[in-house]
Amino acid sequence: MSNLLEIRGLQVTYASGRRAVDGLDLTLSEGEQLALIGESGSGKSTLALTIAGLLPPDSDVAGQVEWPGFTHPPRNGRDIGFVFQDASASLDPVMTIGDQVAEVAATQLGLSWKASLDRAAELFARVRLPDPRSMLRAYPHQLSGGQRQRVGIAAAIVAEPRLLIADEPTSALDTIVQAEIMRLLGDLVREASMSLLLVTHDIALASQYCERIAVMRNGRILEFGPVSDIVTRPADPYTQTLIDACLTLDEETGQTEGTP
Amino acid sequence: MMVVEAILSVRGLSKRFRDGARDVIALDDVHLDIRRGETLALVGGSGSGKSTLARILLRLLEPDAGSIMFAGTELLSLQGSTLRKMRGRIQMVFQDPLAAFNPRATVARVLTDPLRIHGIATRRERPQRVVEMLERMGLPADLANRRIHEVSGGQRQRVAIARALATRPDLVVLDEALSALDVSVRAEIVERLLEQQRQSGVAYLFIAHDLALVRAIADRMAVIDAGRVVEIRDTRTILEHPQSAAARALIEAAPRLGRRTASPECSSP
Repeated sequence: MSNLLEIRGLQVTYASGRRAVDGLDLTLSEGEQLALIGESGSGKSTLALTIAGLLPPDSDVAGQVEWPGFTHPPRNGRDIGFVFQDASASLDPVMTIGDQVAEVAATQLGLSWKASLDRAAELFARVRLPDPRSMLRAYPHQLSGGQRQRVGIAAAIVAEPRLLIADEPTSALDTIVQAEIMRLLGDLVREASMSLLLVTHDIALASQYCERIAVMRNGRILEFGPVSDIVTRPADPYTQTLIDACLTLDEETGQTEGTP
Repeated sequence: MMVVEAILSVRGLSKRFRDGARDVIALDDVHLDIRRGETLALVGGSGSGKSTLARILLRLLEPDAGSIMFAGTELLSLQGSTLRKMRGRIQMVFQDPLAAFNPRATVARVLTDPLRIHGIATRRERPQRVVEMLERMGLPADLANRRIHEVSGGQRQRVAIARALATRPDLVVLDEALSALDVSVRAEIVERLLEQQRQSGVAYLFIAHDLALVRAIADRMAVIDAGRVVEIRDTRTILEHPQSAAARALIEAAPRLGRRTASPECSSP
């Protein structure tokens, strides 16, 4: 499979002087589902923002970010869709969700307003919002947390991006809604042959929905490989501690937590 | 069979909210007991009524009907100074400790407040008590001088737990208290909470939607759905043989390490 994205020797330093990504290599294939896992401060969100071109303009970026899958530099919103952790914070509270998604369609695809609204309704159906037509007139506060995240996903896929980046898309949601949203993301990326970069702290979630896992710590990738290798034969002791700390329902992990 | 005394008995608790023209039933005739020294998990999806119950137990919200007996006293009849006195015996830890603290306060200030308000230690004893409280939660003594917004999320939540335990309460309500933390931090805090329980006999009401975490901490669990407790038994029994649709849905949705649901092809090692 050909590479969509190739990153070599990436360093990202914020204006505060903090280096969040420190010499990192990563490749992402066309159509693959890759999880970037790590704890708070590991640099995983900074890496996602760098890939999407959403870093603050005063950040210092060194190294190479190349896009062999594109003939032009990809644009966020068009070629890359971004789903944020907190959909409530990324939606305008005083604008209907139909207008918000239609606005993206009008801007990115140059559609007329009526066609943009039709496109929004179509997307609401794709993200399985109930009664998509009348949903156009709903405001964010009238929706549940899971429904708001579905709107966030609809906005991210308006322009049918080749890459969808989801940064902790379900950590504000309860387990049942989390499973629904993850299934939806999985279905959407497979249907449209999109690549998915899932940023999460949850190795169990990553192992369930992705093909490969990259483990990040201190701005570097410690380990990168297929889920089955990472989960059953982690090469780095830090990955093992993440697995040990992972509380699951399975019998073998028993006791109070995984550490022996 | 040993009969363990209940520290808290909830009977027939109901609460409705008005949402525009609609009546929303948040709690519908809830009955449950929490025994001394145990951890009871209260589990349910968003909007099931878990947090409403927590707020009523803390007297932050008044129910429409029902009774809450706490250590032999009707909690709902307490007012003024008797209620304030009781507050030291039931404590609460919220999901987001930053929202629960004065952001400009130092860690020492946050931990000294309950000692002062409930008259637990003299002014001279307080600094030493603060150090002990920090150590019990595995935090360094010099954290006391830091401002609460400067410490990490995991440290801050441990400070919140240390503060909740400062008054030697009989019951601590933990409302999604570990949900926002990294997995390794969670495991450490679970250990500390259980250690404190072994030493002091404090009971926990552990509100969560994450069954893996519940399995690690709770002796018994109550499953709440649409304001009703639909199942209440020991944790292992419910996880192995769920009776209610709500429990089955939660178990089904829990992430499992290395078990792919998206596409089956790459799960073999």
